[in-house]
Amino acid sequence: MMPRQFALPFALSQDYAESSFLHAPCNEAALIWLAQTQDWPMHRLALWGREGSGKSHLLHIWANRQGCAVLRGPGLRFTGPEPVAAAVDDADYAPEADLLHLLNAMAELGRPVLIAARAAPARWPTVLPDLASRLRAMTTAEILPADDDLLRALLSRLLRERQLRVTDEMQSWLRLRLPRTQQAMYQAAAQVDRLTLLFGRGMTMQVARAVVAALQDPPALDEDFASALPVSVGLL
Amino acid sequence: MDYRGASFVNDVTPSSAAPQLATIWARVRGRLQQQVGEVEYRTWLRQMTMAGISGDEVTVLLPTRFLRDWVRSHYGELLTTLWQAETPNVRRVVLNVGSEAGESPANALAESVSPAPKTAELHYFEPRHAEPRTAEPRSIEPRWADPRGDERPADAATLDPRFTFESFVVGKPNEFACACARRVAELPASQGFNPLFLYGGVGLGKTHLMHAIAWELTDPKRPGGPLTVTYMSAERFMYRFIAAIRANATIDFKEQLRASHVLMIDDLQFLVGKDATQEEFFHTFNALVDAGRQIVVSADKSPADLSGLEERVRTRLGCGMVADLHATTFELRVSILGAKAAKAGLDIPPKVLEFLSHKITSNVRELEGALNRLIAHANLFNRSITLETTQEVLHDILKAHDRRVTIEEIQRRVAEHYNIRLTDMASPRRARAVARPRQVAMYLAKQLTSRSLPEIGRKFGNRDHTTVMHAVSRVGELMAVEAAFAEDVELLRRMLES
Repeated sequence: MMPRQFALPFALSQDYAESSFLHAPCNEAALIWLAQTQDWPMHRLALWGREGSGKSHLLHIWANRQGCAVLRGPGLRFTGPEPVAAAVDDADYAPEADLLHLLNAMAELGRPVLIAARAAPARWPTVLPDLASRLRAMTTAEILPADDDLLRALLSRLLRERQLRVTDEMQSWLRLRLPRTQQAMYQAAAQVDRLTLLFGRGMTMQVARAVVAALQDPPALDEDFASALPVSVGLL
Repeated sequence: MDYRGASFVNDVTPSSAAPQLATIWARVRGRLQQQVGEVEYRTWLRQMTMAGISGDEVTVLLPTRFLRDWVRSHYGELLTTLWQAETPNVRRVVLNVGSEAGESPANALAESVSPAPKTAELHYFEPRHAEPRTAEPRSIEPRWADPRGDERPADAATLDPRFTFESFVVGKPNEFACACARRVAELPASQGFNPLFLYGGVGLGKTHLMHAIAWELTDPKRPGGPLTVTYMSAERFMYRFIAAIRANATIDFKEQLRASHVLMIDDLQFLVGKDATQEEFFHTFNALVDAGRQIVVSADKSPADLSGLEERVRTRLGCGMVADLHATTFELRVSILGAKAAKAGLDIPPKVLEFLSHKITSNVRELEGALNRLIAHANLFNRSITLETTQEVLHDILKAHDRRVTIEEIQRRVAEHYNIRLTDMASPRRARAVARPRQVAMYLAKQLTSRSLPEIGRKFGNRDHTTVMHAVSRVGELMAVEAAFAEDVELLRRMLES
């Protein structure tokens, strides 16, 4: 067997610039909300949407405009109110008491808080009643599932960022066969990167098929597991 | 360290040395930025201004008390070191609250803060503020009564202007608590009402009543003059106390608290299990009661049920008036929403108010939160408030979870709707009577799930993804020309999404 190039995972650093955010109908409402911080009831807003839908990106854009840092939910520790505004990513993983204190302290000072999570705050499994009721009273901006145009623009940009030359035809071939989520586009770009390096021959149909095989829809819980088992790329 | 604030700023060196000083200051800031990094610098240190140098002391101002405390504890030493590197004769850097504009917050406040009563013999409710404040009488905030009146706490809790007695909607479940609160607001520290202990579940109006009392007591038009009220949540009490311990300033903290006419602590349950803070609270509590001052406390349970609170604290809390706020009734909820809508000047259909009152029974915070969300949404997107928009905007609280629709479910619903067999969804039959519903199901599968097209094709009898694409565009075309068909598909979509 030919020795193969060993492909080390290469994670690109996230680009959270305002200019690189892809505007689309599915995130338009969220963008409008973010632009109107002064109109948020109780100075709070929760951003929610599925993985890869751009929550963190929006959070950074907003935090940048406000002049505050983006805090991470897991490991959040309340030590006092944030100076100008607070942005909390993955807020559903924040320790409940700390998040509650942060919300209260900021509300007392009339400073805005933006939190982001995959589910609407009303649906988080919150134990602390004081926090639960505040979360349920919170205004939310939902990022809807992506439409085809957004996915096209996203895949094209992700490939470009990795300096991978993939023709438009090949991109649409891929898109037609991939789950229609942003997450799948991110994974596809990473797979194209990995597999072209592994095969050492640029973007070919062989690579494209392997990418699709690697990213088959995971079986949904109520569906037949066996019929939807992903094909391992290692078998190719 | 010396925190004399305003007085200190006034006796710094006049500006003759200013240009040179400005250069040094710029260098110190540059070094600091290099050492702590851009993000930290921007977050905490950007707003520093230098007030001046006096002898061996440099005074640096920060806009809020919180920022000052933070900078003092995290960057104080570094600042001093950096200054000393520039001018070796500087021995310390004093951090104060204020801004470069010169007007120290303390000066702005001087005329409205009464010299705080350090002596117990001061009679308490005699008129203290002879001249009422001129501008915006309602903008008075409860403040830390600082014996030295030296700095206005920039992070003091603000009173919510919406939480007044006028805006408190009274009904059977809360009339007793409201009456007690009014009584305390009229006659603080009267027999039998001190302390006033308000309790009830989350979001039933405890904080609203607390703020209403504070508004009344600090009103400049109040007969006998406004009083100094210290209002804070128990959590704030706790972190202020801890901050005071860290800064070696517990004496200041105690004095600040004991200098107020009325002490109000919200959400006392957060002190449960925090022994040191409880201890401090207990002493403050006793000192104030002994001095004949009013205390108002709120919690989610009655004093007797606040387990984790020391027995002596519970006993003292329960020895005044204990009033509870009960869960709301449907009628009260409708009136609360009606009052709120009227206040916002909005004509919201009664159907919507009743719908909300029926659906959101947990507490008033969530109920009002829902109405706020509706109003904000309607304003922002210029839409009218109807039952439909209500259900759409509030779907996350009205439904327990967003169901992910599955392809199987879509096939089942569509088959039922068109009265065909479920197996026909996957059968090779091409008769229009089954082919069209199958196309509709494929169309909906593309719209309502994020499954890939080949995956959808597989679920429809291993069809190719091009068949799915064809179905999607065919159904789209038909919907554009056949209104009845379009309605049918929309109906199915709504059924599946609900």
